[in-house]
Amino acid sequence: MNSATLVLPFLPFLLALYTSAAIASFLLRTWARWTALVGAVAAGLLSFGVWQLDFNDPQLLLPGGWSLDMVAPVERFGYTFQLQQANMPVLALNLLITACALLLATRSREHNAFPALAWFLLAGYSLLALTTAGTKAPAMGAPLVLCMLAAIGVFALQSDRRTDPSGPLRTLVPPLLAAPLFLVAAWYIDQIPLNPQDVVITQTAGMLLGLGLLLLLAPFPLHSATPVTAESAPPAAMLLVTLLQQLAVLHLTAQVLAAYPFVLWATDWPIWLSWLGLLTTVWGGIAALGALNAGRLWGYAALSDWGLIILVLATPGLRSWTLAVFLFSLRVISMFTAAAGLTTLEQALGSLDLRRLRGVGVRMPWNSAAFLLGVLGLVGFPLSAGFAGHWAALITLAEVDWRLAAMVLVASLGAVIGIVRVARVMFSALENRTVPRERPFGTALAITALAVTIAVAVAPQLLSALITRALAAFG
Amino acid sequence: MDALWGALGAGFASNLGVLVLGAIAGMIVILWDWRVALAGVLFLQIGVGIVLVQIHQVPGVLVVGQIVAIVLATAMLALAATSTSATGSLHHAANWPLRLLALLFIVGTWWFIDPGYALPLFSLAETDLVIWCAICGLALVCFSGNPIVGGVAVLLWCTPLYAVAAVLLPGSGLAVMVGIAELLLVLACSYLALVEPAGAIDPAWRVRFPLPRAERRLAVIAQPSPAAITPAVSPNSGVPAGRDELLEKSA
Repeated sequence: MNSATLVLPFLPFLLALYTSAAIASFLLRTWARWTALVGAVAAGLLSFGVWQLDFNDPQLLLPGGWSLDMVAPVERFGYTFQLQQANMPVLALNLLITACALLLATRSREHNAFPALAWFLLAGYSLLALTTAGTKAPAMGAPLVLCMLAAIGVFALQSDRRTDPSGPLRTLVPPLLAAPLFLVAAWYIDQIPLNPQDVVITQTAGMLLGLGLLLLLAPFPLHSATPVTAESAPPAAMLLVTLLQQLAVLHLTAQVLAAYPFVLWATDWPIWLSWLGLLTTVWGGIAALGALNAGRLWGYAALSDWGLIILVLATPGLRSWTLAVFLFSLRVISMFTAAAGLTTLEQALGSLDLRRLRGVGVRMPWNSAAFLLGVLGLVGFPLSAGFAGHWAALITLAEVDWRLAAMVLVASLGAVIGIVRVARVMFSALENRTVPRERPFGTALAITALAVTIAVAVAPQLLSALITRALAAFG
Repeated sequence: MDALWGALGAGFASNLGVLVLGAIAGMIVILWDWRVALAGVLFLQIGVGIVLVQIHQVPGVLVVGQIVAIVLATAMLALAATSTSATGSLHHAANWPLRLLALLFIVGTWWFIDPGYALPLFSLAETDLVIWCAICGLALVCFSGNPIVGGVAVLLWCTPLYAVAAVLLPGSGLAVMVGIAELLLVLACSYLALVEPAGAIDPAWRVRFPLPRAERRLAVIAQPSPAAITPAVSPNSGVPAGRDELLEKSA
């Protein structure tokens, strides 16, 4: 056998990498910070490698004359998994989000099993993105997979903390509610070719899928898991679980709307969702006004931002995947920046309650600034990362209906007032003299996050190449 | 094996059998006892599985697999419930007359609206049964944030999920996925039950409107202290400070 002709498929290699990383991270959990750091570097490099993949020449030469076929399909359990141009951006973003979360986990002294859980979650979400065909359309079983991943996410979110478990528990609800709707819709979709003239079948399938997607997107009033979890969970876990789940749901929505366009024209789905998106963004902004915990404030700001993404996806005349992907990219940056600050603050203070934050900005200015700028980015404050996306969304929304834009603006204003209130507390006179000063690594992480945020705020066109390529998965 | 399924099926796949299964689902919500709930949900899922074999010719081996999954799931929840001392949030679920009224309201509304919707390939009675199970699961989640109750709710909600996967999409492997998902979800709920603090936050303390002040927020009571038992009145809320501890002591 000539070893020069040996071609290995990439996906088993990738899964083996995930599994061995998870096992190694668990076995070496005593050195959790180092395993997290190594994991962050590995995930970051892999993300870059996947992003740079040339689909015209998908063979990657390895030492010893071996080569990796990056796009070779793999069939298991009746499902086909394949890296394609359409799912590559999702895989790369999954890896990038995991790298960010693992980087933040290097700042944490608790829950040593987090790196292992992060790799498991990454493996699950990657498999979901890479599923291209099956005995039934993969999208129909996706909510069941999301249920399983939400269950694994619970372990990361609770992190062995003896705190109120209602937030992680609530994260299980949306995929669980959506799963039966998708399964019944799958039966109706199978019937469409048999009765192409029967409009009722198409309408019923569209209604069930639309309702299922709506539940998965978790708008108001299904939103409660986000702020509660943001308050109780470690920021790194919150960042990882929330963003991976939301990215998977956005990808699923794009797949469903592309494969079954009758969801849009045979039902009132866009109208339901645009109203619920508006309510979500308004409620996020108003509730942020009264938040007494920095984590919860982060959660409400993230909720307000998520509502805007839903609104952009749903509103007739406004629907734009370009804008949605742009907003989501800015969301990742803002959430990472806020989480970078929050992780260090929580480690230093033991809690993110407002009482504990009094004067913390004096001792920990960089991390306080990272938190504030990240949260401001989530509500689209000028000179923050989120401003360009929010401004573009507001302008487009105003062209459809200026009243909707005004409501979003008022909600953002409410959130900004809440953030200013927290900023005043953080930069007031220091009461607790035992608050430690920032350490070099924490400062470096905060400065890096701030630099990324400011760079994107000043030059949002930096993301245009990323968005153009990511649109292959959504547009 | 076929004779066994036939004998059991004759009992469960009748009007009386379906009614009994529905009543068990309702009793889980009304009685609000985790032991009754676990036994009830086990019986319910076995009953529904037998109905599926009897009426829809779902392969017996698939139903046996599901029964194994549900036995494991209930065992996990029972172990978690017996291993934890944090049962405070288990009792924050109103009283039984209120829960009974809520269920009666749902039944009344259902009867009044009478959607007459039947799932494809399912009879009206079967559809009503699985939707009723799902509603009872939702009611459990609405009444309580306790992880054990959440686990029971997951199992109740999985009843229609499994029925739909097994009957409408045979050969797709989705019924097996439902069983795996059920186990993982219950594992997560059991874990949450084990890490729940002894004095979980009472939702009554977390009302934050109108604009709150930092002093109003109470910390999680990790261990009941002598001071916490004193029925002092919080200056901001007007609610006795050690209310939960007093209730638990009197119980």
